[in-house]
Amino acid sequence: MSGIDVAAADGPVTGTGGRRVRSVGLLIGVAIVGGYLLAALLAPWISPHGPLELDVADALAVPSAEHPLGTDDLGRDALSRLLHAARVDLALGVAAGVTAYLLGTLVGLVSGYAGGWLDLVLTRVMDVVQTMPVIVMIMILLLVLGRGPVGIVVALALASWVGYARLARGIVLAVRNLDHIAAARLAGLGHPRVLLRHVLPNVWTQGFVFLTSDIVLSVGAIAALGYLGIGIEASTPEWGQMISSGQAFLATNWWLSLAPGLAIVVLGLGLALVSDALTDRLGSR
Amino acid sequence: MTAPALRVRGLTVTLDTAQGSLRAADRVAFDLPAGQAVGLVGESGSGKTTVLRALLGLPPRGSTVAGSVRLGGRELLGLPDRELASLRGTQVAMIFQDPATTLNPIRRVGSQIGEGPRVRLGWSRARARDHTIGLLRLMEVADPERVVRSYPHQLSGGIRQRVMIATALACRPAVLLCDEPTSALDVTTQEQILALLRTAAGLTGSALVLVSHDLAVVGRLCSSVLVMYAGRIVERGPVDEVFADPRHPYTRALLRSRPAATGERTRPVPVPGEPPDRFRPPSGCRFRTRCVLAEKRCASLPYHLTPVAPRLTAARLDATAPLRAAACIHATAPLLRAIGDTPHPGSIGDTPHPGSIGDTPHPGSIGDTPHPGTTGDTPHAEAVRRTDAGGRVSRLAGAGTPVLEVRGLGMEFPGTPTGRPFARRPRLRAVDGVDLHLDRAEILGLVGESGCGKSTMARCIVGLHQPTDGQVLVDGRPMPRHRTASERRRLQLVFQDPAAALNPARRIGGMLAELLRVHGLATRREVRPRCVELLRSVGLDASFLGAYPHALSGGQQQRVSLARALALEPAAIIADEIVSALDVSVQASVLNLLVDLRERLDVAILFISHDLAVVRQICDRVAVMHRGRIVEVARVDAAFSRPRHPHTRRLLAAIPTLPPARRTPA
Amino acid sequence: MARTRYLARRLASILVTLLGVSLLLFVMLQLQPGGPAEAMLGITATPQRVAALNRELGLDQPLPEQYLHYLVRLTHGDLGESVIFDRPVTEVIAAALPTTLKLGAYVLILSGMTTVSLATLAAVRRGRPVDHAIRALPLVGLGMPSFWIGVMLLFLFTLRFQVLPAGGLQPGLAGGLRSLLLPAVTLSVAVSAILVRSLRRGLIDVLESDHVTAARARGLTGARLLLGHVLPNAAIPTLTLTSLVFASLLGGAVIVESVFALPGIGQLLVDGFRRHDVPLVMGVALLTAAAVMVVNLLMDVAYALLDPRVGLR
Repeated sequence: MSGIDVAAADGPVTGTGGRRVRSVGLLIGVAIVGGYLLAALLAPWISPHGPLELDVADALAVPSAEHPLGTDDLGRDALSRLLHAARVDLALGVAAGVTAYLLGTLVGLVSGYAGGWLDLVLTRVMDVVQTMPVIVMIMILLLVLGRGPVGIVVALALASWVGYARLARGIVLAVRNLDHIAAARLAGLGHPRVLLRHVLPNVWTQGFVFLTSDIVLSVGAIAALGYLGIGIEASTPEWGQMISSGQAFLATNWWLSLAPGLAIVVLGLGLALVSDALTDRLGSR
Repeated sequence: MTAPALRVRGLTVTLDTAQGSLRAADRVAFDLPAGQAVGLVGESGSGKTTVLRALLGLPPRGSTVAGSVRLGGRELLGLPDRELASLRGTQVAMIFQDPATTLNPIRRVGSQIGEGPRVRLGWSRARARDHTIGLLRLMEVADPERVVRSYPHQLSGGIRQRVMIATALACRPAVLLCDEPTSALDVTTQEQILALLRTAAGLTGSALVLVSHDLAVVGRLCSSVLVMYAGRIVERGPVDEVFADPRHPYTRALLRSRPAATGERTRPVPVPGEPPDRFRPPSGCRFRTRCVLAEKRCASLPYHLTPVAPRLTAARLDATAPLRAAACIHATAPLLRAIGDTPHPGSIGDTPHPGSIGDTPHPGSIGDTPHPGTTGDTPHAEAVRRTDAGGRVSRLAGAGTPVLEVRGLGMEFPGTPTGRPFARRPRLRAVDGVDLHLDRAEILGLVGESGCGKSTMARCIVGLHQPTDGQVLVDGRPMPRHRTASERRRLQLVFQDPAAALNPARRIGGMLAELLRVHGLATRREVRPRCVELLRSVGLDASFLGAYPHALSGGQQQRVSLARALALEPAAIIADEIVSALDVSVQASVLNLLVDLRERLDVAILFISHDLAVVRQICDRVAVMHRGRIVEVARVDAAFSRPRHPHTRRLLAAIPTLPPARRTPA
Repeated sequence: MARTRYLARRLASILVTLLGVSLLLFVMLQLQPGGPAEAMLGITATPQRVAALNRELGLDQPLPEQYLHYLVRLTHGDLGESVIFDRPVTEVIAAALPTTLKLGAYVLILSGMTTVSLATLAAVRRGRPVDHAIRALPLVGLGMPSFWIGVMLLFLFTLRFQVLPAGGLQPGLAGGLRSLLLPAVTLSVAVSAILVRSLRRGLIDVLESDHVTAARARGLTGARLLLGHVLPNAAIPTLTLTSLVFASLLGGAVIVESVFALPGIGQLLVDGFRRHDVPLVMGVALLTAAAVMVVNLLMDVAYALLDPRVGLR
C-alpha cells in the first residue's frame, strides 16, 4: 500500500465536465433501449427468415450474406431467432419487473406508513422471501404454477418484489419524520393528503429508477431459466436457451453462444446508463 | 524578539466549483507571537474555517492555495504532504467544533489520544498511556482510567470536547487552531471548556488561533482579533481597542447586533441585507451594499488595510502590541454614525431616537408592577403595560383568559436499556408536571440546557407527541387526544432547522395557498393577495412566491416558516430555537420580526431558546426549565437581576459576556 | 453487554424467519397439483401408494396439525425421500454439499480480494481516470448473465487456450482448484460488481468524514490511516450488503454448476426440478434458506465486533 497516498486523494473536483458526461450517457442509454424495443416490435418484419424455419441441410453454417449469424444445429437462422427472442425476453422481463414494482411499492408504502403490527408482519414476510435465492424461489413457485409464460412472469414477480418494498418502506419511514411533514400535519392536513402530495412523489420516482436497473436482472433470470431448460418451451426462441444449445458447438460455432449473451449485456448497459442518469437528476433535489 | 509562532502573508484560497470559482480567503495576513492568542471572527461564508484548514495544510478539495505561511520560520505552502503530515500534531494541531463527529466512533478514546505521540514521536504504548491519563487529569476529567477505555458515544459532550483538546495537545504543538470549540456545547459547559483551553495552552506554551462567530468568546481568550467578511480581513488589532472603538462598519454592526446579557435592554440592531453572493461579490469594498456609511468611491476601492493609531498610550509604547488597521475609508477616525442610530435601519438622515442607544432604564419602566407575587406565575395575569427603553408604552397584554395553558403536563419515554439482562428499562420523564400559561400578545421565553425537555414539551403542546399526563388548554378549552384540523390550527410550531421545515419540492406560494384553501381561510380570488400579504408581513416581497426553499437563505427560510404559521391565524406560535441555526446578524432581524408581529397582530409567542441574552431581549416573562421541571417563572428583568432558583443563577453566571470596558460602543 | 443482547435478538429473529420459510414451503407443498402425496411420490405414484402415504403422513388431519408434524419431522432432519435417487433427501444433499462449499469458499476469497483492492483504489483516487474506469465496470458487469460469462470463459480457457479442464470436478486438491477456478471467477464477477460500488461509496464517505480529517490533523497518514480509521468504518455498511449478496451468490452457484457440470447442490436442484422430484427441490430450498440465515448471523457477529454502538438506538 506504499504507493497509495491517502492525502493525494484531494484531486480536482469533476465540476462541469461530469455533467456533460451524464447527458451523453443518458442519450446513449436511451438510444440502446429504444433500439431494442424497436427490434423487438419489428422482428417479424426485419428478420431475414422465420425463426422456426428448418433447413437441416444447412445446419451449423458459418456466417454469410444469407445467414449473417449462421445457423444453429437444426438449420434455423440465428439472427432471426435472436430478434424474435428479444420479443420473448423483453416482454416477459418487463412484465415481471413492472408487476414486482407495483406490488412491492404498494406493500412497502402500506407497511411504512401504517406501522405497528402490520409493518411487523409485512417485514417478516419480506425477510422470508428474501432469504431464498431468486432462482430457487422461482423454481418452487413454478412447481405450483407451471411453466407457461404467465407462470413465469408471476413466479419472477413474486420472487423479486421485496427489493421495491424495502425501498418504498425506507423512504416512507425517512420522510415521515421530516420536519416539513410534521409541519404539514400540524397545519391540519389530513393523512391521505400528506401521503399523496408529500410522501408518494418521492417513493414512486425512486422505485422507477430501481425498476430501470432491475429489468436487466429480470431478463437475466428468464434467460437463466431458458439456459437451464426449465423456462419457456424449447422451440420458442429465447436468448438463454440459445446459449445453452450453442454450448455443445463452442469449438466450431462459438458465435452461436456469444451473440445472445452480448444482446443481454448491451441491453444491460443501456438500462444502466439510463438508470444512472435518472438517479443523478432526481438526486439533485 | 523571537520569531512569531505563525507568520501569514497574502494567504489566498481559491475554490473551483461547478458554479464558478470563488475566493474563500483573500490576501489574509497576520502574525501570531509565541504563546499568544488571536481571534478570527466572522459569520458563515466569511472564510475563517478555510483559513484554518489552509494553515493545517488541509485545504478543501479542489482549491488552490497561494501566499506564504511560516510556521516557526518554516514555509508550509508547497511542502509535499508527507512532510506536512510530520508537522501536524507536533507543530500545529486543531480542535474541531463538534466532538461527536470528529472522534472515531468505533475506537476507544484512549487510543485516539495516544495515537499522535506514538506515531509522530515514536513513544511506547505504556508511555503514551501515562501521558494520556496525565492530559485527561489536566482537563479535569474525573476517573481518567475509565474514560481512556470508553468509546466516544459513552461520554457526554463536555467530556468529549475535553478529549478532543487533549488529543490536540498530546504532542505539545507550537500552534493550536480552534474551530468554534464551544458552539456545540451548553452554556455552562462552554464556560468550563474556555477556561480549560486557556490554562492548557498556557501550560504547553501553544499559541492559539481561535475561530468563532461569538465575539464574547474571542474577547475572553484572545489578545488580538481579526474580523473577516467575505474572505477578507476587514479589521484587526488588540481586542480591547477593536471592541471599544471599531473602525470598520461591519465590526461595529456585529457588536451592535449582539443582544446584551447585562446592562441596558436595547433592541439588537440587525445588519441590513443578506450575506454576499460568494461567486459574484460586490466590486471594491465587499461590505458596501450593506453599509450605511458607503459612498460612491467605495465601489472602486482596492482592498487595503489602513493603519489606525492606537488610542491608549500604553499601547502606543508597547512595540509588541498588534498593529491596528481597518479596510475602510472612514478608518482613521472613530465612526460617527453607524447602523442603529435610527430605529429604522438604513434610513440615513433620521435623527437618533432618544432612548434607543444606551439609555439608563427608567425606574419601574420595564413592566414592574407593585403587585405582590409578580415573580411567580399567577394564572390569569392582570393587565400588563409594557414600556420599552425608549419610554414608549405599548399595548396591553394578558387581559383575561390565557391563550395557552398547560396543566400538569408530563411526558414519559422508555429509557435506554441498562444492559443488565431482565432489568426493566427505566422510564424517563422528559417533562415532569409542568404548569405554564401564555397570555394574549405575550412573548414568554422558555430557557434551559439541551436535554431539559423544552423541545419535547413544545411537541406535546402542539400535538406531535401524546403527553402521558396533563392537559393543554387553548382559550380555556382543553385539547382532545386526537385533534381535528381546525383544532390543530390553533397552535403552530416553527422549527429550528429552517431548511428541513419546508417541503423542498414545493414552491413557497403553492405551499401557502394549499394551507389557505384546505382551511377555507380565503376564497379562490383572495388566495394570491393573501399570500402576498403574508409574505409582506414577514418582510419578504411577492417575488418569493415562485421560489423553491433551497434558493433562500436561512433567515429567509425562517421568515417563510413564520408566514406559514401566521397563515393559519393561530392563537399562539411556539418558536423552538428558531434563530439558533442562523448567523448573529440575521438573528437580530428575525427577532425584531417576532416583536413586530406581536405588536401588530397581537399574536402570543412561546419562545424557546438556550440563549439567555436573546430571551432577555425580546421576552416579557421567562420560564426556566431543568430536567423536565419548571424551576422558576418571572418577569424577565426580575429573573435576570434577582434570580431566585440556583439553576437560574448557574445559567446566568455561565453566559460569556464582554467585560464592562468592552460593551456596546456609544 | 449491549452487544450480546443484540446478538440474542438477532438469533431469535433468524429463528422466526426460518420458521416462516418452513411455513412457506409447507404451503407450496400443499398447493402442488394433485396434492402433496402425489407430489412426493412422483412417478411412482399409484392410487394405493398415495392412499398409504396419505395415512402415514396424516394428510387427512387438519392443516395446522399437519404443519406441526412437518416441523417435527424437520427438526429430526427428515426431509423426505428423493424420488429420483430413492434415498433420503438428507443423504443426497450431504453427498453434493462439499463441492458447493468448496466453490463458495473459493468465490469468497477471490471476490473479497478483488472488491477490497478495486474499491480502495477507486476511493483513494476518486475523480481520476482510474476511478472512472473502476466505476464503469459494474455498469457492464451487473447485466452480464453469469451463465454466459461461464460459457465464454469455458470457450476461451478450455477450448481456445486449453489450459483448464472443460468441466466436472477433478479429484485431488490441485485438480479441484483447477476445475473450480473458472466457476469461481464467473461468480466473483457478479459479486464484485455489486460490492465494489458499495465499498467504494462507503470508503469515500469515510474519507471525507470529520473524524478522518481530525485524524489527518493529528499527523496520521498512509497505511496507518487507512487501516486504523478508514477501512473498518467503511466496512460496516458493506457487511450488511454482503449478507444480501450471499443469497444471489447461491442462486448464481445453481446456474454455474450447470454450466461447468459440477456435482454440487445446484446441479441437484436443477435435476430435481426437471424430473419433478418435489421432496428434493423442497429440501434443497430449505437448505439454501438455512445457509443464508447462517451467513446473516455471521455478518451480525462481525458487525457487533466492529461497532461498539451496536444495540443502542
